[in-house]
Amino acid sequence: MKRYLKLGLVLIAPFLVLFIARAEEGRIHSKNEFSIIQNHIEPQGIRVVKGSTPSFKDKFAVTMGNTSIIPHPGWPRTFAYGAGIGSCGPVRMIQSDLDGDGKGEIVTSMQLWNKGLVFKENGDISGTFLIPQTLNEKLSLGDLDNDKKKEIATFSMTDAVPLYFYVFDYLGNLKLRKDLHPNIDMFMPIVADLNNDRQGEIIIKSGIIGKTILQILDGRGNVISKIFTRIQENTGSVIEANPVVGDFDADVDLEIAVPLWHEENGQRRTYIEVYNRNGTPVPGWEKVALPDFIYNPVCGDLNGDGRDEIIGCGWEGALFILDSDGELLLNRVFSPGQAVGSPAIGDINNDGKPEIVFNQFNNFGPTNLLAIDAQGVLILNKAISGHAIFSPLIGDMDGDGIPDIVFGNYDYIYAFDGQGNDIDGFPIEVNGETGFIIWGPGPSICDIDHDGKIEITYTKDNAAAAEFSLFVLDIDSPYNPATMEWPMHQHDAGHGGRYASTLKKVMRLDLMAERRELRAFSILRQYGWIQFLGGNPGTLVAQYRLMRRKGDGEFALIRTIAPFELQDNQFQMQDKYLEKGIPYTYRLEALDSNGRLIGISNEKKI
Amino acid sequence: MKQSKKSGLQSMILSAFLLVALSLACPGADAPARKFMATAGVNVFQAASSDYRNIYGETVVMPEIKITYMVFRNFTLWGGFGLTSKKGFIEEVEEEAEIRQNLFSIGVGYAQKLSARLRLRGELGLAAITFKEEALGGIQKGSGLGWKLGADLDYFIAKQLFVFLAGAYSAASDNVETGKIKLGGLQAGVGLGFAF
Repeated sequence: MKRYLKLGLVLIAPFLVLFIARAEEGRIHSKNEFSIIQNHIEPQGIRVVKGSTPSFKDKFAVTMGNTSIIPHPGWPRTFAYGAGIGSCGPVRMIQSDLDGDGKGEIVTSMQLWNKGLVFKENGDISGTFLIPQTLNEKLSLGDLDNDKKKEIATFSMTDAVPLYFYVFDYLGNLKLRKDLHPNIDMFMPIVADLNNDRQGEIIIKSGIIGKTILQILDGRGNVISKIFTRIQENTGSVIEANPVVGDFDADVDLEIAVPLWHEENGQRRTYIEVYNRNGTPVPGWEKVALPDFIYNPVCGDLNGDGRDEIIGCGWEGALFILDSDGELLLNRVFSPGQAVGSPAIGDINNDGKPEIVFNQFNNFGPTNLLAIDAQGVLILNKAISGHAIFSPLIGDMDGDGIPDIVFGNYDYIYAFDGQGNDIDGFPIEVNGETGFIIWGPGPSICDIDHDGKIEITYTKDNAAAAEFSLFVLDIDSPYNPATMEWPMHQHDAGHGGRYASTLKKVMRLDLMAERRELRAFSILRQYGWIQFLGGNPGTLVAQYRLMRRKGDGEFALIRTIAPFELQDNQFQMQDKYLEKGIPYTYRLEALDSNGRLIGISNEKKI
Repeated sequence: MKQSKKSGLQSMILSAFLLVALSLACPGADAPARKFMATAGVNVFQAASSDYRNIYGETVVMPEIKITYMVFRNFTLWGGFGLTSKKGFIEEVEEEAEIRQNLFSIGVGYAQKLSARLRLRGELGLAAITFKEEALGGIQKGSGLGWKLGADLDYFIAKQLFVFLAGAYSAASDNVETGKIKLGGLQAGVGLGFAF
């Protein structure tokens, strides 16, 4: 009886906190000390507050740029909270092409709203589905039955009803309802194609007191494998620590890394256990632990050895990197603050290697967004007005072929390049107004109307009016899927959290550039001497685009070159004339007949 | 392109030189019957600068006019103006270029009658050379103050009319972004003169 009483308390605790958060402002630290399972409401220092106004909102002026940024037709959509506690909270708009028509749909299920919505790109609601109770982000999208359409995988969660797993189609019709009794879960299903059969598997971390269970289901709800983890997760929180998929043994399929929070004698640890699809443990991960609780981990092959590393931010602010065999490669707190939330992985400096991008904690104060390389060397430190738990995004925002960084907090949506230069038109003022725990507006980069230009989605809460809004913005900049390294939180709509470079598919072009000097009788001028070799034989290049950046400015097209202009697959030209003392940076792109980027050179600075 | 700017120092020097020359010449007394000569000629000008010659060629045609005043006995005071204009080609960037020069000169001289029809004049003076070059997408203007040394051999074909052979060398320089450039050069030409 006492055991069930504790269970009930554990389940009720998050809702209680949500209620308190809406009821009064102020800092709330709550830690339920249970003997068997503990429920941490928040990481140390994270603030739960209602109706807060970002204190440094005015410190950052909105950039007035030339790039057109306007609401997408049909958006924003605003909804009342309803009977539930409401608020966007940690819920995002998840974008994917559900019906296979080439255009994207948006799926979302607001905090405690008990239903989900499917939107067409024009803002029309194309489907509604009911979930008995929702908390946190619970939706993952993926093709579960190889029908070229994607399904919606989600959970219910109440304190009284056992865990149910649902699958809905793109119209919101129920396809599957599975009782996962007696397990409970606070996190989300992960959808990923583990065995490359073009059908996503569903990965569920769940459990009851004393048992943590990893289940892998197929699209029909059949259990592929069911694993009782070696370490029992004994700590809960509204902060998520979902499994992540990755390739840790360089075989043809993906494995599942399961983070397990475990606190014993006041010592917090996150154990990472790695399993194959069939439930067999991956050798080397029998006793791997990080010395702190971590937020949602991510993974990707940072060192190019064909195996993925796992990256996570600890609650105390360290950033951890685990090698593919479980060896701790990095455990470092980066000045000046604490790493927070979910990191992102992508090649932000065009060096062919992925970097790690993450932000630092500061409770409603200015903070920093950092980027490090795989060795932990800091390569970017960008001031931002506040932190967010949703991960930064990485994708080309200005059409230069090089991925940029997008980051949303309750003040702004930022976009800047790998050197920290703001993309024209950014930051966009969001004024999220209300913070739950500061997940942020959860932006994603997409092209939902398939017009070849970028859209950004994000949520905005308005607690005073008891409503929330869903935004889609049109950015007048080309959307290039080949550069979308990390276009949304946890990388993809299935929340797999795995980085797989898209840039590797783009051929590397060999560009040479020199600054040369020339004099007339009394005039001395400098010009750029440019030479490049054409693309690989057999690659259908429709045109080459030579881009140039003057000083710290934006890249601009200075010449398009047709393939027939090349002689012996080589092209030379002069860029007349250059200003002395100002660096010029050149980059070459190759486009196919559809305007897609199929080749890019390294940047050459002269 | 930024143009080079000159201070007023050169014009002040030029004015001072003129005053000194006039005062030394003691004008007025014993002036001969025909005290003035006006000449117009055409010269072949070879610039002293090899950069100039590389772009604009070895020689340039330079028309020139000059007025000479017999101030005292055989001593003269003279002033002249010549100009050049030439297009060139810069192969490396395959672009045309153009330069224009004006040569102002003033000085003193000495005229020696060699026979009934022949007369030799020697001249020394100041030269102010201005230029404007349009090349490599820019325009550069400048000027330099220097000297000019010359000689003329006159042959009288009538009482007041003569032809002449002339040779001179002028030297001036200017500092521009390419460094110090030579503005003058060697010139040789023929012309027609009128004494009055």
